[in-house]
Amino acid sequence: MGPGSDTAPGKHIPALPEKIILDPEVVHSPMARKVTARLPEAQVMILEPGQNLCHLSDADNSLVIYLKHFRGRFLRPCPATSRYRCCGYQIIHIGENCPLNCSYCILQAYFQDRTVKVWANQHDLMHQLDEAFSKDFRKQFRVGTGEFTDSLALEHLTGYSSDLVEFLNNYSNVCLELKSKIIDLSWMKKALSSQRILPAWSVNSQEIISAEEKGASSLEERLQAAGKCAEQGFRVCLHFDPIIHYPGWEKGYSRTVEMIHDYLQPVNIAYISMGSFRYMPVLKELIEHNHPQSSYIFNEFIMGMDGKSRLLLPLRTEQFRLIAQKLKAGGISKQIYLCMESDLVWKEVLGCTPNDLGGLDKHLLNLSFGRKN
Amino acid sequence: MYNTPQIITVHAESISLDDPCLFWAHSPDNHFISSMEKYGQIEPVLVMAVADQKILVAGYKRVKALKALKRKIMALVLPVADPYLKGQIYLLSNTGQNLDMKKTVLALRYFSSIGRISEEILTNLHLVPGSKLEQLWQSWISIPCSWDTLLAKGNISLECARIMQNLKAEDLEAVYPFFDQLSWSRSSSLNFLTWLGETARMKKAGICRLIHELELAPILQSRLSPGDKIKKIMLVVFQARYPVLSSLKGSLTRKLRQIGAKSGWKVEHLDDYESRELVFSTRVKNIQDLQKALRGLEQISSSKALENWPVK
Ligand code: SF4
Repeated sequence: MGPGSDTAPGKHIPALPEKIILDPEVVHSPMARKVTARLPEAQVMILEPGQNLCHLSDADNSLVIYLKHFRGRFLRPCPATSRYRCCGYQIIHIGENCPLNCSYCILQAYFQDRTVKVWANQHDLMHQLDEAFSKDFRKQFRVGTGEFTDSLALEHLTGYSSDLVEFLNNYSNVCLELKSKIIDLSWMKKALSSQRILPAWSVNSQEIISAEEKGASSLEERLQAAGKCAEQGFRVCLHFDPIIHYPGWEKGYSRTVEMIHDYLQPVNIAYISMGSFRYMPVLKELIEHNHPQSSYIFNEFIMGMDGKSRLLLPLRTEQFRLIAQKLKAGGISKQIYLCMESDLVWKEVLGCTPNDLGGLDKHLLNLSFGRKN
Repeated sequence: MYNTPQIITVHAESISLDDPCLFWAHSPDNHFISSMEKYGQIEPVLVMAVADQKILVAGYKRVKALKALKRKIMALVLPVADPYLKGQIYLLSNTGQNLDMKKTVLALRYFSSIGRISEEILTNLHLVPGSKLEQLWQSWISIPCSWDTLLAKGNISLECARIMQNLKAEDLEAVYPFFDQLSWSRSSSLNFLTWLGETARMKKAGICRLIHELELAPILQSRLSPGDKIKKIMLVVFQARYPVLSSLKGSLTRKLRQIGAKSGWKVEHLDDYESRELVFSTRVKNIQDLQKALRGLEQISSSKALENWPVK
């Protein structure tokens, strides 16, 4: 398979890396073979023991893919805080950094260059996952890969999600969410069942997508792809994240919900989250510097109780309420949840708290496995 | 470096005192002149011979004092050097001086004008190369030097340089009178500039226009005390930057103050509406105070004052 095949529609393939850097331990790994074969034009460099990555990165900041022998933990809990409710899923750590360039992306604060790291020692990853998942098959897991990278942005080169889907076919207790802003459905043919794979897309108003998610697929493309997944029997997840306050947001987000109703039936949706834009102080400076046209960072933000800035509560509840109301009008109700919000906001927007649902993590676990709560 | 230093004695008139490397030059006071008169010149001044002229590179105050005393001047003649080395010699021969804001900015302006602020210079100015402070100074010298006196007077904080360096010339000009006429604390000056700048960007207008729209100049020209002027300006700018928050805060503060006034309790909300929590505080000296405070609390809890607060 060449880069970009199996993507539908294939308009938004991220730029191809010009260089492949390899850790010596992974030179003969299946991942290295796959990526080098799919990028025949790219320059290949092997990192000498003790050699620093920045010596090999390009000064012109062109896109580099670094196939790394990762020695850390591949399965991690999602970071939560005591005052705001987290969704409680676990992250399968497959790599770091992203070739897309969303203005609000937190990864800017973590990685200053355009080197996208991919953990190429997949057998170690699978070994660790097997240890965690097979200990007790009665224990269920909701896992995802899109925390330090986009789940599918490099799929056309690495096939990582396809490999994971194939691997997880054997684990009936694990539900995998593949969260992305681009379209690549190549993983689909590796899934033996449509029940435990949840293709997921971030959604936003088209104005925000055009202005702040440059390089990502359009809203229509995402929803078309979601519709295609639904046709194949997959339930999809949608994430309104980050919801941004801008002049005309009411119209923009209302249109997005209308489009969701056009492409998907309530039964096709496992869950939908809503998360307002929030940031650490350092991110604001980076956005100002890297994306000077992005003025949403000057909205009415206050310091939240988790040390992150977030939109003033009445403004964000107004946004949540409008979106929730429009989703409910189309029959999507039980699947809605709020990302990193307090019980106060939950009550105001959804009329209940995570405790009323038996705890958010349990609630989402039930939804992801298709159980009625 | 100087193999054959030569000491000469010359008339003050034959020494040029105009070289820009004398960036801290200032005239001697009477006390200095008297001590020169009493003890004479102990150390030679430093000059460079260019054609038949002597250019002073260190010792301005002594030359001025000796000139006033109509005495000849002892000078060490150094080989001709470029502006960087002249500045460095001047800096090193004045290392004993107390490095305040004014001196630091003058030195940095000089070295920046010749395009060379080396690590050596920074170290001699007690600035750690690459430190946050050094970066702030680098930002400061990118703004017009008309601001230097305001910095030296303490009307504006050096930390504002980070914001000011990104402002357009007309915007910098528009905020100048506010710092020229008022002395701002560090946090007030930072907030003033940040809120103005962010509101302007949000509204896609210049700061200049925003200042006009918010009618800040009349506040500056009013008869209020300087402290009250700053307070009022900050309030207006805050309201422009955070319209919803300031209106919520305004009505809540009024309400909580009313409640507190009757009960003897101070009632505050500290979470910017992220919670509904209120903090009640009071001071008691004795059991009678405590009983009174409890009656006050009962009064509040049995009234309807706190129904539906603060976010509806
Ligand atoms: S797709 Fe996600 S990870 Fe990639 S730049 Fe956008 S926000 Fe960041």
